Amino acid sequence: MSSSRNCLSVQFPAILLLIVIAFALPGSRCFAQSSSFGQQVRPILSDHCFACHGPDEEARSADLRLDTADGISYVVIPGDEENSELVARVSSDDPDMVMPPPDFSKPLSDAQIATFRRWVADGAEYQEHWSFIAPKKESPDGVTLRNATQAIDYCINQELDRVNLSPNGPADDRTLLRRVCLDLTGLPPTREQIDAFVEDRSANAYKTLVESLLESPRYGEHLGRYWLDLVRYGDTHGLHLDNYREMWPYRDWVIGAVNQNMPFDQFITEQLAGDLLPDATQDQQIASGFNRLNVTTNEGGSIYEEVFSRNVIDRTDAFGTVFLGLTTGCSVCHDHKFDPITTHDYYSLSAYFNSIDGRAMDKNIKDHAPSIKVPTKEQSAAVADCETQLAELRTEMAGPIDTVDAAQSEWEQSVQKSTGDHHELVLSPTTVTSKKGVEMVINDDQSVSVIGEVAGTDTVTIVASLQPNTAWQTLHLEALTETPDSRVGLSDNGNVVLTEIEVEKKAGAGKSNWTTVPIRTATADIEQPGDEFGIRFAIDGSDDRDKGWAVDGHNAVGPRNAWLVLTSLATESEEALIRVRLKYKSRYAKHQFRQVRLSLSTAMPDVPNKVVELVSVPVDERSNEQNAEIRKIYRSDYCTHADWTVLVHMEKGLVKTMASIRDSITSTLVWKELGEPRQAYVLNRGQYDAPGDPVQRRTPSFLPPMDDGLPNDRLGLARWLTSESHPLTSRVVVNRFWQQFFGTGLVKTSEDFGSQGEPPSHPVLLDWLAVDFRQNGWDTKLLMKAIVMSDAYRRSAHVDAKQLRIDPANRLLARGPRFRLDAEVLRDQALALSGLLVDEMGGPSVKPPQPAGLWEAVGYTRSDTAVFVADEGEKTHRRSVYTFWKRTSPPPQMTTFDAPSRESCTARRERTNTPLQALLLMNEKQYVEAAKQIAKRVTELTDVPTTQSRIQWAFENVTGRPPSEQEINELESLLHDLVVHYVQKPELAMQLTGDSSPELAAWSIVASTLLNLDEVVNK
Amino acid sequence: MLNRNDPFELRRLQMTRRAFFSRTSAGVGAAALAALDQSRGFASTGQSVGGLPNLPHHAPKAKRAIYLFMSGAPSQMDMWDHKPEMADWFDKDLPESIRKGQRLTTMTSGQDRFPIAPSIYKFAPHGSAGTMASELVPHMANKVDEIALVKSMYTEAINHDPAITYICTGNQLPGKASLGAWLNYGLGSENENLPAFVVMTATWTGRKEAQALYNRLWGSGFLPSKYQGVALRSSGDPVLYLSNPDGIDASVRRRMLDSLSRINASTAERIGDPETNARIAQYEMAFRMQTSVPELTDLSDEPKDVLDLYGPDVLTPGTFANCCLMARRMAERGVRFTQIFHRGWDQHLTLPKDLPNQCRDVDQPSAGLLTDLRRRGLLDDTLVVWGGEFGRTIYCQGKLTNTNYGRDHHPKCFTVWLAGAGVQGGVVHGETDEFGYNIVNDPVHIRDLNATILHLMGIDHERFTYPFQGLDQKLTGVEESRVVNEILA
Repeated sequence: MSSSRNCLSVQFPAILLLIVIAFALPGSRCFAQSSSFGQQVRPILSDHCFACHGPDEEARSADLRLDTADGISYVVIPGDEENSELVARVSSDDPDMVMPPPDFSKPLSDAQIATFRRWVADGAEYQEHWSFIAPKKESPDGVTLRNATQAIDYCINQELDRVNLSPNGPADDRTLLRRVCLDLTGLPPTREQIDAFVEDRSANAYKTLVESLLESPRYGEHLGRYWLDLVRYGDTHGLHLDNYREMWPYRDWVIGAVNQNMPFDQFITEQLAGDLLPDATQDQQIASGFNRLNVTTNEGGSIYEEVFSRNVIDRTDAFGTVFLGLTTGCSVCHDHKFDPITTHDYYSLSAYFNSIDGRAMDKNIKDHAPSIKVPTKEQSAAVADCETQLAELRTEMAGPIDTVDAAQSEWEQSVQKSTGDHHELVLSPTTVTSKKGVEMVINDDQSVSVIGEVAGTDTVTIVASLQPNTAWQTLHLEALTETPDSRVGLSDNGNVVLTEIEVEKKAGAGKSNWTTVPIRTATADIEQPGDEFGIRFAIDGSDDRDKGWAVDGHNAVGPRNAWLVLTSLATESEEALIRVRLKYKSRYAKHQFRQVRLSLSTAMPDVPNKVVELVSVPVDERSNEQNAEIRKIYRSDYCTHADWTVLVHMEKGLVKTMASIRDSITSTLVWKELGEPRQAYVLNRGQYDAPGDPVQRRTPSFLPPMDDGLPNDRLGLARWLTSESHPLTSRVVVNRFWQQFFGTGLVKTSEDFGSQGEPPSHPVLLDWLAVDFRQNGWDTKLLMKAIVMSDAYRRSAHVDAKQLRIDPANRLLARGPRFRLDAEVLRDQALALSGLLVDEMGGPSVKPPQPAGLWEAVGYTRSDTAVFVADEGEKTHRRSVYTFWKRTSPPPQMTTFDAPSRESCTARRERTNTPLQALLLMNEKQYVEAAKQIAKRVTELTDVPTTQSRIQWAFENVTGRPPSEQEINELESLLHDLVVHYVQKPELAMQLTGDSSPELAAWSIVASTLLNLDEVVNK
Repeated sequence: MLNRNDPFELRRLQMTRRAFFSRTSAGVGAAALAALDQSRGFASTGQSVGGLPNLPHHAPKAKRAIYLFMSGAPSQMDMWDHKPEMADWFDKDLPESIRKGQRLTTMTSGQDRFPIAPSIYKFAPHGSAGTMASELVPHMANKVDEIALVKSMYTEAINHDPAITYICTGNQLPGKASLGAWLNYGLGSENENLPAFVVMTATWTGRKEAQALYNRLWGSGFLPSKYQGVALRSSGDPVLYLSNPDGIDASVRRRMLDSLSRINASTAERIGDPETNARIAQYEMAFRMQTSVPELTDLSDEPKDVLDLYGPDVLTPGTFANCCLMARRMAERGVRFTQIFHRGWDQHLTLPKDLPNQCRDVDQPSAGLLTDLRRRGLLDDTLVVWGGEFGRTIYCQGKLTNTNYGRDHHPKCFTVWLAGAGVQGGVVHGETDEFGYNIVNDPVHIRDLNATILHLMGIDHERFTYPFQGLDQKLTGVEESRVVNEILA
């Protein structure tokens, strides 16, 4: 095997280790030594040997490790291949001796064995794994590189030169224009951009264009999308019910931060630890939602601790993939087999992510705590307005009101008279029924009792005759107990929650309908402490299972009483009936009264002694405080005057309006740290119920330690990541940016910079860019600009046979990047080219149409995303980054083109080429709509008269370049044939476009043809 | 048959493709032309496309498989795992010595009792070995001599989402490739006009509130997405976006594709990217699918005696019976792997009300599928698997009466059956204790089941790997697993 071939193949990309270079060469060069340990030897050791002779202590055989210099020294004698055990064992014919052992199913090839021999013969030099050593800016061949663009071209060209490949010349203007527009904004150039660029002959034309694209708000929408894949942003929880999760403010935060060119270290810090920043802003809290993007569940039957530990592990792995470019997940169960991450390292790292102030189960709600409200300006203003009005109203309500005050005087007199000769009557029930069919009985004392087995929830209905011509004021409910020492409720703990009580009356049997008798106020002798347990919740018109009159029966024995002030109970009918419903719908099972008696009274409810005493103080002797208190008591508990009632109604209305505005305010999941961190443990074999050693927060030991001055929390972790000494962060980030433009990263395995990942194709370049990026203040736009300004990026994508043979995947970049556009870009492109695209930014995710039944086919029947309802109008033409993402059934327009489900972190998408993609581009509703819209525009062009010129216009509109004569002829003949066809079949034309015009139908097909061109599907 | 009035035909006469390419050299253009020519007519079945060069590892017994997946977990002791001793245990507590502190779902872990609910269904011996089967599965009971019944399946997951993700993708957490995607990746397709991995989601008549499915169950995970299952739908387009829009008939589509292919061929010529030729071929395959899929789903050529095998619901789109018939049609056409998901098996409460309906949905169609495959000689090289994600408890969840009970999730044992290619009929493998709570003989982990399915398809699960995140990923994961040789013919 020739050495040049070895360096070129994708399996063995050229790599250069800085340590070697520093010693071996007068200056760094852009390519590698042929027997470099890191480039050739370590990958073989890692893939074939580390599983048993690597970092995992438990799995280690023969006490031999080959991932350290010390370990290797036991089996290798530098320069002496004949006497090195390693060489002997890998070359042995003896099945008992040969390594790897046959049953490991990973034999070495002859070439790999030869590599070992050569390496040992050359002195068996050992180096640490490349990505764990901090990058440095080297000057290759002693050449000083002034900026990133120059570094890119120098390194790329050096390598091409070395392998004797000549780079392509620059792409033509229009190809380049389309490429850079798609790469920086995710949208094709507009007609105006094309004209301006083609006309601008100045030397700076391209630079000017790039700068304007970087300032476009479309830039953040496009670049941000890659990040959303990486961090697995979705609009549902992702597991089991897969209900709606409100998280889009985070998505908008990402787009905004990218557009503002937020320094990338800050971008990292705000997401990892926005909540821990001093005086964290709302935006920083939103950003901390990064830590909440993992899938969650609320599946019935789940074991809390298991779900909790899974969530922590998911977040820890995300941290590993997103920032370290490492597969930390391997260390959940055992020490990593390939990289030096022990389980202790892993769980120490996970300890940064285990102290959320919230529950692990997501309750199937959209704003599973901790979450914050994110009001719009309008919503904030509306709430403020309500608050002002409410304050004014309450001031009015607290002040003197003549008519109400007059009524108060009358009431005071009636209280003072007190003893009064009012009339009270115990109701004699005619029937009592339980909705759940529980057996009930009417006792001799006219009370009713439950004698069957009480149901979990129930409604008890009592009907009694109603004495006519009496000014009934009050309904008195007595909940009785068998003895003064027994409890009033039927539940295990003796407590009761009456969620609602309703009163109705009827003029007589069969004569009329039941009508509701409004309950004006209610008082009770005992109300359980708590925000939702007052008697007022039993008359609030709502069956809310969380609110009702709770009687504290589990704490105190004996009976209970409630008095309901009624209106309009008076009747003239001799046969009138009253019906009372006691609803027990509490979430607390069986919380029902054992025995209840009802009576009516013409008096207002008993006035407590305290009030009587207060009112008895002569008016002119009362203090201001006493006056105020009497007024307050009267108005809140006894007043029925219409002038007061109207104010109360206004107040209720305002409160309700304010509540509904507050409900409509968007929420978003954030991180909130517990006051005291939770203790973390190593989980043996990753089992939640097998905690081992307790561990403290600590960064992995094979990486530089965290600075002592940093707080040992997520904020410190973020500072550590972005510190100068960190070998991974900036490399990982720069590599992913590179991947966006060139299709493949300098490190192809952009999710794995560890031992099993692929070494970089251009190590010096990667390190140069990584350091430069950091030194430039993590300036993303500067890096973007440097990349697209390079010759490597601007080359023609033309491929010749030699290039295809030597470098089929274009890793050496002799040619410009050309590959299929991502799903989102394809859709946005079609919408943009047809003029349908709505460029509104941000807000709730939208649902463009998709084929019926996709959610229904998989969704849990009770899920709030079990039924897909498409949006209408402008929402369907928004950019795809705003499309609603249901993680268990993501939009098929996206997944058909390799978009991930967003259930787990995705650092790079596959790029497949399938018949289902062809069907989608030809037949999917919105692509057809776009084609028809283009056709409409073409057929309405007044200043472009001839068919040929119209074809030219349409072609240029879609591809960005004028068509060749051959292409014009082809499309003209297509158009002609289609017109003839639709002339013969006008009904088909009508079906297609809603218009019988054969031209419009034919043009629609032509436009669809253009949108399906390979050239248009690719960048 | 040339229609002189058809402008498309005339055009073809006037302008041959050769004329179009007259100014281009041979090479790429010719390659594209070859792709076009190959696309005319319908490709026959039996010709393998794609797949890995080193597969199969050994001569496969099964060329294809059909997996009947019962989502929600069927109650094994009411269908297959007969526990006669339990009749005396009605409403008595499951002994702690049997439960052994086994972790429970939090739906029943709060119960203060674990009263045993014996099955109310009658069991009878069937087949040459007298295999017991309940009255709920009368048709499959007659098939016991053709199936291998495994009563000793187990898993670790106790809730639906992780459990079904586990058995379908080899891991409880999302992100891994599904069984069908693995088979598609490894073995490719036998019919390039149909997807190699097809998924159907059937309707059900038991418990209305059904557990969810997830696209990940047939997803490609870390494998390229072209290996994911393609949903064959019972309403709308059978394959997403298959139909031309209204107003575009097949002749228009053909004409459009002719122009598209020619312009793309000139792009291939101009730029030289091999992917362009691949794209031309994909568009042609899409066109062929527009014929082959409707032909697949058109049941009008099925004779009555065949339809009758599947029972009364067979012509109702989306029913399990309908899906089974469709599965047979796909087996005939060389679809590598077909998976039918039937929901509604989560009988926590009111099992006697819901389970008979669930069984009625699947019993006759499953038996009918086996008969139909056998009659056509397809059962010899088609594997059929039936089962869910875990089992159900012998003790009752909710209120126990003489006629009503429910059962919670039970991962420690459940029953599946396999039939067809390479499977020994009439075998009962594995045994559970008298309570149907613990396995006493021959435990089979769900990984073992997957290893066995791969084995029958000619694949050694240990050597079938894909590098991702630094690991050689396997369907059977990193834990030990074995092929269940005892049930193989």
